[in-house]
Amino acid sequence: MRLPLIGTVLVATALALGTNAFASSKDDWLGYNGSYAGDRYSTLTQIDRTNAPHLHPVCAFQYGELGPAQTAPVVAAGVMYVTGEETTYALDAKTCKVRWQNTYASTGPKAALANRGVALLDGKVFRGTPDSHLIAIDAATGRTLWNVPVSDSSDGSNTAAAPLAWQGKVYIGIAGSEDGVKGKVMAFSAADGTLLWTFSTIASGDDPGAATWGNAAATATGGGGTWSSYGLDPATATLFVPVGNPGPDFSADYRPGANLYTSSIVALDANTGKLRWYYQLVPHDYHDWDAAAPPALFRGANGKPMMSFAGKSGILFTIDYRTHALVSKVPVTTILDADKPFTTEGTHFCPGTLGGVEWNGPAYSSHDKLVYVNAVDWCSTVKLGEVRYVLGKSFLGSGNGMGVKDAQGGTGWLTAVDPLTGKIAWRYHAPGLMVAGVTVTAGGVLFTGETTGEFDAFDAANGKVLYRFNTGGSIAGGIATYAVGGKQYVVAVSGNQSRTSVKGGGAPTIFVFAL
Amino acid sequence: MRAIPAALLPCALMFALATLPARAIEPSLSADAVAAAIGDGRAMAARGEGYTIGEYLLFGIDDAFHISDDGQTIEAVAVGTPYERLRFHAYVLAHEGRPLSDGDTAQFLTAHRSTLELVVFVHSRSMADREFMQHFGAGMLDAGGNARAAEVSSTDPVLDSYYRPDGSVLKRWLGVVTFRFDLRDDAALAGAAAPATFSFTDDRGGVHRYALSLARYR
Repeated sequence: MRLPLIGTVLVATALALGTNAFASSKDDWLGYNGSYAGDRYSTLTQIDRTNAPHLHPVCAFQYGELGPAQTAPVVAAGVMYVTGEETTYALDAKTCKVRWQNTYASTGPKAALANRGVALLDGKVFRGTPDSHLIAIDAATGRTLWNVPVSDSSDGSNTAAAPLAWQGKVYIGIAGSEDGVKGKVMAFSAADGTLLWTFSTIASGDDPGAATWGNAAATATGGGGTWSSYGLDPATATLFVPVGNPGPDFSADYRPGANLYTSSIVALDANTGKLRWYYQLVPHDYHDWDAAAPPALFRGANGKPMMSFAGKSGILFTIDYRTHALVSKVPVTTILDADKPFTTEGTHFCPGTLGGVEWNGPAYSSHDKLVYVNAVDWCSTVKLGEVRYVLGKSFLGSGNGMGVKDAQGGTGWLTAVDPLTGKIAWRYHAPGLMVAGVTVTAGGVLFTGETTGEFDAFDAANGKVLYRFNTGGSIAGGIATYAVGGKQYVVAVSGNQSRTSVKGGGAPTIFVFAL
Repeated sequence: MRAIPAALLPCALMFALATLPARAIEPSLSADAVAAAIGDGRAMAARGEGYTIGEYLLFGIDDAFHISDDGQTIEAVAVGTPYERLRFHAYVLAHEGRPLSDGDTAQFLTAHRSTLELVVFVHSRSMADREFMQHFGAGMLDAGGNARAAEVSSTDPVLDSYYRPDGSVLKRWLGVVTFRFDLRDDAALAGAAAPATFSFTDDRGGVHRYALSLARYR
């Protein structure tokens, strides 16, 4: 749903699109989504649709630990940076050999075990920690340079997101909507970790949008966590933040109104943290339908700057970046009884609480003019119950926790969409969940992975499977492509063990493929 | 209070109803009361701001999000008369977007005729004790020396977040325990002007007592 601009700030877009706005070299993959624009598009062409069937694994790195494997590899000048729960690794991107490793020792409660990766800037590596700190590491030596708390993790808040770094600033926010955390995004000095600004993702007090919380008290535990990563338009200094669901997740009556800025993409002034505009995917969400993944910015086939994004509601949105007008809106998974109220007998709805587009968002191919996105197809049943007493009132909500997911398990979709028309070009239906990153190249190849362990290479134009390799572990992290010494590589993160790895397993392992 | 012979119960019931204060519990709701209860419940659902317990709240803590003492497990106690229960039923159905037919209403009223429910909102003392509500019991309603025992039921426990004073988060199971009293053979109790006492035992056997005047409630 498109909502009006806040204030009068209009973005005079001069989006540096068509090229990788992030990378100093097309050989690198310099952030969670490869570029500030987040289009997950590489101009590398050595691996193409004709030779992709000859891909094979060239090296692997085993973490030697169990746990979530959702990191997004970042590659610069032949060095790959990946994260585990507390350890950051710098690997030789050709051989997977460890150059250094940095192990952080949490001093507070570990609110999140998953970590989605690092940001790079000015010779420093930045990451969040399980106890909600932000640390800077010397990219050359692995030495910790500074360490600052982002929040008190004892309240359940966490910094599982991969930060983003730009012009002397490091951006990261906190998550924990299910614990009643009130979300926020912050900018820190890349030099020394000094806090520069904070933006609350829950509008309250005198904030614009505060009136969308019919019960002002609900903003204290409003949710709005941000837990994947961010996007940025350097030309306009605009930071894009995907904001998660409102809290309590299912007790919608406790928080009447649209509940801004939950389940939204929020555009902030990257220098000041001031709100520029927002687009709310799900007003007054009561299904746990976060906007989890950052958007992709690109120049469409019509020459206009576009923005595509999707959330757990399972709908891929494309808007005109300048006007914010909706261009297309396409379901990319099963959507069923999305507006049906919860009942005491149980309401079955899709996507379920673990459905739709999760922490890895859309990619856009400037070569094939298509947007690609992975999604989970898994429905849930939530039973209405009298779940909370607050000051003389009782509130209805889920009487069965996060609901019950369909017993037969979930499947996944990879969908290719013409963003200007909304027409689906092709779809792939996977037997397992599809939550991994999607990376597409000028060689006409799309790389992704499945929770059943397969690393996939598709023909980006028509969805034909060009190459498939079973890694033996659930693939739920980033997929990146890069070149070292004139040779193109693709990296996939396997072995995710979390609530999404129902059909996966394995142990966290980095796989690198090449011709 | 002396027991009333069964043969005289209908007469006693009529006498009791005739002498009830204006706001006495109605064992069988009048048509006007039914309409009012349904209308109130639907209006609350339409406002989308939760169910207002209002004058039926017997006890409630001020802040049910923060826990300063893990000995505290009772969040609120509400009096559920047939009128109030129908109002809540209408609220839930309206929230669900479902109709409440005359047949459904009649069935609900039959099930709740001359009953009184005491609704207790509770949370566990630890995250490990998911089954804590199963230990609540021994519900008694005592008015003028005439004591009644309750049937007990509880909702499925739901895990939710609470906070310590320092802001750290606690996970606790929460739910609703309902003590249901059948007053069909003692209408005088339902309308008793004298103070009554509702008591029950919690998950550790601790006794909780609340004074109430049933004559206050419709």
